[in-house]
Amino acid sequence: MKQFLIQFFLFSSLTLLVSGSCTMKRLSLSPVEDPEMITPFKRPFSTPGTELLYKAQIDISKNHFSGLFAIRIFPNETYRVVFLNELGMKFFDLETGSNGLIVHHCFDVFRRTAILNVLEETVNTLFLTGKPFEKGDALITHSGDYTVYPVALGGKKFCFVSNSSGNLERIVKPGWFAKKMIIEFTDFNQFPVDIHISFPPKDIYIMLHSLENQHGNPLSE
Amino acid sequence: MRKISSFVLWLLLTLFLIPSGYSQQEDFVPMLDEEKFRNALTGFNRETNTLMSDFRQVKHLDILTEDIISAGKFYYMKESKLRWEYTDPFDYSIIFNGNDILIRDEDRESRYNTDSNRMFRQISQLMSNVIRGDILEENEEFSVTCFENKREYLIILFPVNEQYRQFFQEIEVHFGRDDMLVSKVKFTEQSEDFTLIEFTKKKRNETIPDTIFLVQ
Repeated sequence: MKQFLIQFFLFSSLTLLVSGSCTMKRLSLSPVEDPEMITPFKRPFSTPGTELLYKAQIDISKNHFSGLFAIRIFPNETYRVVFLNELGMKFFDLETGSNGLIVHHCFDVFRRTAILNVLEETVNTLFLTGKPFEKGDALITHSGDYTVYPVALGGKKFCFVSNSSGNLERIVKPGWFAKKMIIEFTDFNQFPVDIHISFPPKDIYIMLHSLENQHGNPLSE
Repeated sequence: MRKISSFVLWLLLTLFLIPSGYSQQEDFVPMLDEEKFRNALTGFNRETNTLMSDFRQVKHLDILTEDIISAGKFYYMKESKLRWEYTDPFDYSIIFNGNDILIRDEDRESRYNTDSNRMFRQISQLMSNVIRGDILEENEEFSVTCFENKREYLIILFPVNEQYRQFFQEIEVHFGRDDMLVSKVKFTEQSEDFTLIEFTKKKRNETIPDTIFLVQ
């Protein structure tokens, strides 16, 4: 039995070491030689006064919720997010800013510490509330297509990946064994059209798809 | 002199501006014979086997300058079959059939029964009861005030139940005097945000295929 455990430990360590080195190799990053040469990435949501509406699907374990995600960007880095179902019933109404998370309304299913923490982390990361980015910290792929910024938000480490146009494509919160959080932005049209947010260890998935107004634009800005 | 001018201005505002603020409600008066209305509505609902209509929904959120507008079709079949079908700006249906609920969200289907999502079902069912006009028969959880004018009956429901109070401040239900059908419903939340649903092309007791309520 003892021998089996030792063998298991050695095998696991070797597997992790190999997979870890593969990941590093796949990214093939190097420090940016001249920070002034890189295009700083655009924050996906930053213009005060902007109002956005997304079709939303939230899966928490086996519970599926669908509806609309209304976002309003206020001055002073304050954001309001309302998730309501198609019948107009509000699931949650959250505000984030310098005063932390304010819960204006929350349906019982979401009023659990673990879920509220996930929602708080989602909105803080999505809106990058008041976080400075040092170009000097950035890493760049050999092809120059992607720039990776290691960022600390609320004492936790994240990787922000932007493309050559400066659009933020991916935010990853790494973990020891698996990524703790992944946010993917696709199809930018002033604002990201699709946003996929996943917390694999917690089995929580949020999918947002932009709904344009009658003029084919975000609701307002 | 300045005081007199202020008074005249206040008087003008009182006479002209303030009454216009109540223009929508001004011709509603407390219902004279509430019992007669309740009996008429109960009798009418007893004879209603199916209902269908188009609807237009306006969701007002204080944080948005533009309201969220959606539209679709509503179907009801006695005793407990309901279908809300949104067609604009996206395809979404919610079907109640007895204890089962089916949500069809574009190409995804989710099934629930009454045991799961109890509160969601309660609220959705409440909205459906209101629209079917059944709400006066289940009014233990609401205090009711009734009004009328030449065209409509207006019922205002104030939730007594704490569970409903966390969602709604009041619910306004408008019934057409000519057809006794619900023409408009407004759910006002505690935050003053509201959902307004207007019904048009209302049809009563027309044949509706049973298949549209299938949840399996």
